Amino acid sequence: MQALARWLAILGGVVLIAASVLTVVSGLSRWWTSQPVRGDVELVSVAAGIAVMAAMPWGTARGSHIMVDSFTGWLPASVTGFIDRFWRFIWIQAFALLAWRMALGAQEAIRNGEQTMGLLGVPYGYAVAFGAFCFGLSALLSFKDSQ
Amino acid sequence: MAPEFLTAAWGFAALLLLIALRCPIALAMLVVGAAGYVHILDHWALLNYLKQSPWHLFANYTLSVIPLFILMGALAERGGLARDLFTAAQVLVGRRPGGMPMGVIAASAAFGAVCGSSVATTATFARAALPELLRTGTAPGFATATIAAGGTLGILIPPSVILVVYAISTEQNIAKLFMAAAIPGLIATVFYLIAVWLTARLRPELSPPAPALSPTERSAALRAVLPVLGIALLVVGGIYGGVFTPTESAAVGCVLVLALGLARRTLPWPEIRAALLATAETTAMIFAILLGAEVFNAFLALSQAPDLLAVWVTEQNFPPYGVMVALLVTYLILGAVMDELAMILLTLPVFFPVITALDFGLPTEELAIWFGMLVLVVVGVGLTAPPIGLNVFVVSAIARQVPISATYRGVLPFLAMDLLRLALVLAFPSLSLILVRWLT
Amino acid sequence: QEQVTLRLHHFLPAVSNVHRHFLQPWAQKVAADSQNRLRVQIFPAMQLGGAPPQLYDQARDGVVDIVWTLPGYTPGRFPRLEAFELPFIGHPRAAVNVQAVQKFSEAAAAEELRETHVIAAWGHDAGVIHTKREVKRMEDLQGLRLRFPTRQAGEALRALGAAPVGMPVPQVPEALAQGVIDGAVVPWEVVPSIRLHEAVRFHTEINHNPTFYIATMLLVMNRAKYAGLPADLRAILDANSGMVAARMAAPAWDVEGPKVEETARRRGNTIFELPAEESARWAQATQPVHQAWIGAMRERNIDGGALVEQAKALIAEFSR
Ligand code: NA
Ligand code: NA
Repeated sequence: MQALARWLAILGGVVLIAASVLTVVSGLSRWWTSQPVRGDVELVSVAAGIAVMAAMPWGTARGSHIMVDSFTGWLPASVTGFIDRFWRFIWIQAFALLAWRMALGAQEAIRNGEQTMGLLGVPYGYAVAFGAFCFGLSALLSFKDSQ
Repeated sequence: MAPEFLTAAWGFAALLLLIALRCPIALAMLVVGAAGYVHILDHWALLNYLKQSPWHLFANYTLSVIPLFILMGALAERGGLARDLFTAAQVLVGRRPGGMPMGVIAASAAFGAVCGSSVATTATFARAALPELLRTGTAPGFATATIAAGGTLGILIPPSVILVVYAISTEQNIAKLFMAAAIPGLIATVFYLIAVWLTARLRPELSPPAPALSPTERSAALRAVLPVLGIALLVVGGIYGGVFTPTESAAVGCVLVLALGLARRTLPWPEIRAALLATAETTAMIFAILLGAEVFNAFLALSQAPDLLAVWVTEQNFPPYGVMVALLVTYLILGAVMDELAMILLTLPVFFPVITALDFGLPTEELAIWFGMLVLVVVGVGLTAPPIGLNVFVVSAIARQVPISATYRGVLPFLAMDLLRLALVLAFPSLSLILVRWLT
Repeated sequence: QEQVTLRLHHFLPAVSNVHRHFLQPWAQKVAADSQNRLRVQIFPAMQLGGAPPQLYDQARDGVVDIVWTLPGYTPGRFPRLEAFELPFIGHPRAAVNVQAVQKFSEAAAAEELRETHVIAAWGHDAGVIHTKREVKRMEDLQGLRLRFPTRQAGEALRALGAAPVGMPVPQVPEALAQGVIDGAVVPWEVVPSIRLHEAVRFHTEINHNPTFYIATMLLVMNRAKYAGLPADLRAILDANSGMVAARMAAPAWDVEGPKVEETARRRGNTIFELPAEESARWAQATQPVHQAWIGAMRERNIDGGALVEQAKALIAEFSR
């Protein structure tokens, strides 16, 4: 599961690099031919969305969500450990809820044929489904952590 | 008290309580926002609202600049570009007392002109420069504090993620805000240099001079830094000159840093992979907070409390500078105990209309820019101020052998300089505005 | 007696013309007609969360009760209404378009609007091209990055040589400031709410009939909320729906638009009226957009040609 999260994070980074290359190519193309790559703005937006979603499980697995421990520093480690497991337990619910709702959102987007606003009209339903998957994986990783 | 205020006040109280109880900030905002949303509407409204909101929040052209700048910083760090900058600084200033830490400040400033994130800048120099500082004899607490303070230059010197978020939440022009931040950013750099110099002067044992480099090493170091400076110039100049949008300049920066790393063979696949993973970690952290803030802000809007508060404050007839100082003090307190990104996301919808409704003798746009610069200063303070200084945490996460209390003691001279700079920026709005006025 | 408050959500700030000159007067009329028993509370600027493309679903799913939105924000979702958004179909005056689109939505487009209760459907007046560089002829559009409001207007701009970018109106100021776009294509009415006349200096009007483009708009309500209204309040809402509401919308463009134009002129901006011959050239150049759309509709088993003819006939009927 951790390995899958790492793999997704790398995939997200590669998508970002691809978006950078596309942006540069589009800029050059606009310089020379006065026409950018068709739909560059919506492609970069979709790429950013995918990269952020793909980063979620890894960020969760690494426990990188920022929290504040200055008020609980005096507590024994066993107590703070218990509190942290409790919040991971809440993360499970939050991620699971997001995964469930986004799965429904993806289903509707695919059924309605919803597309981005640009000329390409990228059908983003599958990207929403990918987001639901990433949130689901984040829930599972939080679950594993809270054990 | 209006029921709206009560609802929002309970929400804030619950949020602060959860945060004090070690609840991750993103989760706290998500949970409290969702509970408030359900309280005012009902649970079906919340469930339906969540169906596509994360997607539309994340798949956003303007916000795409955040992961791109983080990626660029991570690639620059892994590709050794940060080390190049550091070595060049060593050549120029390393022989003086305090020269090495001053070199770190200068290199952080240069890196800050490329990278928009203080976390990325701090992490970069904690990895690249801390071993060098300790090796050349700088005291541990002084070294970590210098890196933590230098890291704030990542946002104080444009480009700046905090300014991007400020521009988005207040509908201001990003390019003008970046332009405005140049002079305050330069002042910050000079002040930090003075802080290091004074510390090294008063307690020379904290920072002995670094070993000398041979003439060949010197010229090699200066040659190596040229491409990095070239990229910095292109990326920042491209935004200022209106040639690139911020997203485009971040993309150009990513591609150039990657190309440079590949050409110099300093970016083999394992290094790229590490950069991508570091990018994912920071990106997940920031966007989880953005998602939590989106839900929390929807709850605040539903309660209608921010509007009412803004109206209330403007009806009190405080003198404008009184309101401004009150808001900045609030920010200093909030910034000490919470994450800065969350802080400005939460408070700007309330504070910004209050400030723009006041008369400082400035047109609205200039007032917004000036206020942005002040917010940037207090955000920088919050990044290093105890008890919750994100930069200090980042350094500590990497330099586990240095106790966090030593770092906090070390940042005190830098914090003193921050407060001096805050007073300057507050007293002289033209420091923030003169470049914008000249160049537009 | 039962009181009902309906939440109306939309994407423009409270100072916008549609908010002040259509949504607020409409809400006040509903309140007055019901002796304050049916109140409409308006939440501007996406205050209740989400992005403009989500508005339609927010009404469908009951996140809010009523939304004002543009079908153009969810491309592909309202294919039939697009007939009015094709280049050189709409009338330069909103008073004509509001009635034509409303009538079209009751019959030809009723099928695709089933998921919500439609309070009104309408179209705005002649869209204007606002740019940093002057546009006097087709060639001036070459390579210009222009924000477009609907996909068909975007296709039309591309056919004219521009490099169009799609985005909801609230993103325009930032995109202009950052140089993502060189201009935007919107009616006069919305210009002050995004301070567009301060960001660009040139405005190109196409005041002939048919005009370059119009966008359609919707005021829709959650179905269950509508069905659950007490019968007398529902009757009051019905009396303020359909053609009545659509006609109330028109002044936000026909009356307020010229005032905005005057503001821009007084600022020293250049306003250029496209001559008839040049307009005809543009109509000629954008003809392939019609063919492509009719072809795309055929794939969805929709007779696009017939819809275009209906749209034209309705415009003709109401412009008499
Ligand atoms: Na920076
Ligand atoms: Na802080």
